[in-house]
Amino acid sequence: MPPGCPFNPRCPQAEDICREQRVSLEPSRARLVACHFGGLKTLLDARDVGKTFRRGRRRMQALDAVSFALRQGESVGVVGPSGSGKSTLARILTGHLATDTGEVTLEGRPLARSWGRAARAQRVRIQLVMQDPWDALSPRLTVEELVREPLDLAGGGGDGGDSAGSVAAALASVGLPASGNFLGVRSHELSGGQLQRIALARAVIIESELLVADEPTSMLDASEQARLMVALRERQTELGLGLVLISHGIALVRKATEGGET
Amino acid sequence: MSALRSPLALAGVGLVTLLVVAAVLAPVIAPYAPDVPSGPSYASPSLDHPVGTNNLGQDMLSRLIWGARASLTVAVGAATLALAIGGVVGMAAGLVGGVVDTVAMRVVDILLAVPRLPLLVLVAALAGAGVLTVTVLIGLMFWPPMARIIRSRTLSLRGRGFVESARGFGAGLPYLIRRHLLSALGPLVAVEFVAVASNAVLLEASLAFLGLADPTAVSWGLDINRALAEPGIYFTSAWLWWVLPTGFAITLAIMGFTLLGVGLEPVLNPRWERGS
Repeated sequence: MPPGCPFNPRCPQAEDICREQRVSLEPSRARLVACHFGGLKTLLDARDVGKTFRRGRRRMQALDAVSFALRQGESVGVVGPSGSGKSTLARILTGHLATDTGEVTLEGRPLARSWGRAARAQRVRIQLVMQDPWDALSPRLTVEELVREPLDLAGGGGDGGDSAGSVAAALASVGLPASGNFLGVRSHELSGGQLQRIALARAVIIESELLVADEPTSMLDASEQARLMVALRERQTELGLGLVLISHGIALVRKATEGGET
Repeated sequence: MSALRSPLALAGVGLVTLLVVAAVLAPVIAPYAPDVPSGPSYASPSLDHPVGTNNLGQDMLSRLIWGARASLTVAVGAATLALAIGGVVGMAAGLVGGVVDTVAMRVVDILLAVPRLPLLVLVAALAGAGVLTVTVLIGLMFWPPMARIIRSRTLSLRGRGFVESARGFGAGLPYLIRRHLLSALGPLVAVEFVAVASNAVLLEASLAFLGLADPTAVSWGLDINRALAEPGIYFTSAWLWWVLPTGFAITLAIMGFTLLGVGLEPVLNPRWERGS
C-alpha cells in the first residue's frame, strides 16, 4: 500500500497531502467519502456570467446569467444554435475575454486576464481548442514548433531530447505520426482534421486540467470528426481532464459526455 | 520562389542589387576619383570617359557610381530609423491599447498632417544638410505612417487564434512580439521599409537638387543642381551626359525599390499561393 491515500498514484487531483496523510471516511455531499477533498474537487465554477457587446448605440446580449460548475475529470456539454453565445462563453471560461457580470473561478480563484505571471500560470491550466484550426495555429510555424510551443513557454522545452520525445508522444496520442517529414510541414499543408488533432496535442502536452473545446469538429468531415472525438475522449480519460464541449449538435455532445454529468 | 516568376519583381531585385553593388564596390569599380578632374570639361562619352565629364572635367560614370553610395546610405539609414520608431510605437499601441494607443495615434495624426518636403527644406536649411542630418530627418518624417500601418496589423493579429492560443499557454508580451508578431509583420515591414527607402532616395535627391547638401559630397541630386545652374547648359549637348544619366539613375533606383517591394510579399508570406 502506498503511504497516504491508497488511491493517490492514479488520482488526477492528488496533492502532497494525499501522498503524506492517510484518510478516513467522512460525510460529504450526503455520502461517506474517504478523500482529503471530500470527493471530486470543483475545478471550474461559473456564476451568473453575463456578457453584452456594444457597437455604437447597439447592444447585443451574448450571455445572460450563465451558471455551472465542473468537477475534476467531469464533462459538461453546452449546446445551442449559431449566435447563441457559445464561443463567447468558451473565451470567457479560458480567460481570453472578460465578463460584464458574474464571475468565473478556477479552484476558487477568479480567472485573471492580466499579463502578470500568476495570471499566465493560471491560464495554462485551462486550454481552449478553437473552432477554426487554421486560425488557431500559426501558418509560420512547423508542426514540431507548434506542438513544442507550450513546452517552450512552460520552460520545459530546453532539453532537445526530452522535448522531442514529448512532442512525439503528444502527436502519437492524437494519432499523428512523428516522422521528420511530418514534423517539418506547416499548417497550410495539412488537412483540417490533422490541424485540429495538432491543436489537441498542444493542449495536452502540458499539464492542463481542463479542456474547453469550442465546436472542434464543425469544420471536419464525418470520419475526421469521429477520429478527433475518439482522441479527445481517450486523452480526457487518460489524463483525468475536465471537459467543456461546446457544439450545436446535441448528438455529438451527448456521445462525448456520456458517462459524465451534463 | 514566387518573386522570381514575376519579371517586374525580378527587375526590382536586379536594380537594387546593381545599386548595392555600385555603392559597396564604388572605390573598386569607379574608373576615377569622383571629385577630381580627370579629363577636359564637357568631354562627350568616349572610351576614357564612357558617360563623359562635367564642367570641372570630373568623370560622370565615377560620380554616378559614388552617388549610389550616398543615395543608398540615406535610404537604408532613414528606413531603418523609421522602422525602429514606427515599429515600437505601432506594436505598443496595438498590443497595449487604451490610453497608450489613443495618445500615440493622435501624435501620429498630427505628424501626418505636416507637409514633408517644406519642413525638410526648412530644417535642412537651418540645421545643415549633411548625410547624417538628412538621414535622421527623413527617418523622423516617415515613422508616423509606418507606426499607423504596424499598429493596424498588430490590432488584427492580437485577435487571431494563434496569438490567443499562445496567451493561453502563458505567453507574455516579449514572447508574443518575438515569436508571432515580428514574423507575421515581416512581409508588411519589408514592403514598407522598401517604400520608405524609395522615398528617401527621392527626398535626398530633391534636397540636393535644391542645393541643400554638403557641396563637397557626391550626390545625384547635387549633380543635377549644378548642371541646371550652369548657364547655357541646354545650348550644348553636355546635358545629354550630365543631366540625363543622373536623372535616369535616380529613376531606376526608385523603380528598383518599388518593384522589389511588390516582389517581396509573395516570398515572405507562406500563405500567398493559397490566395489568403
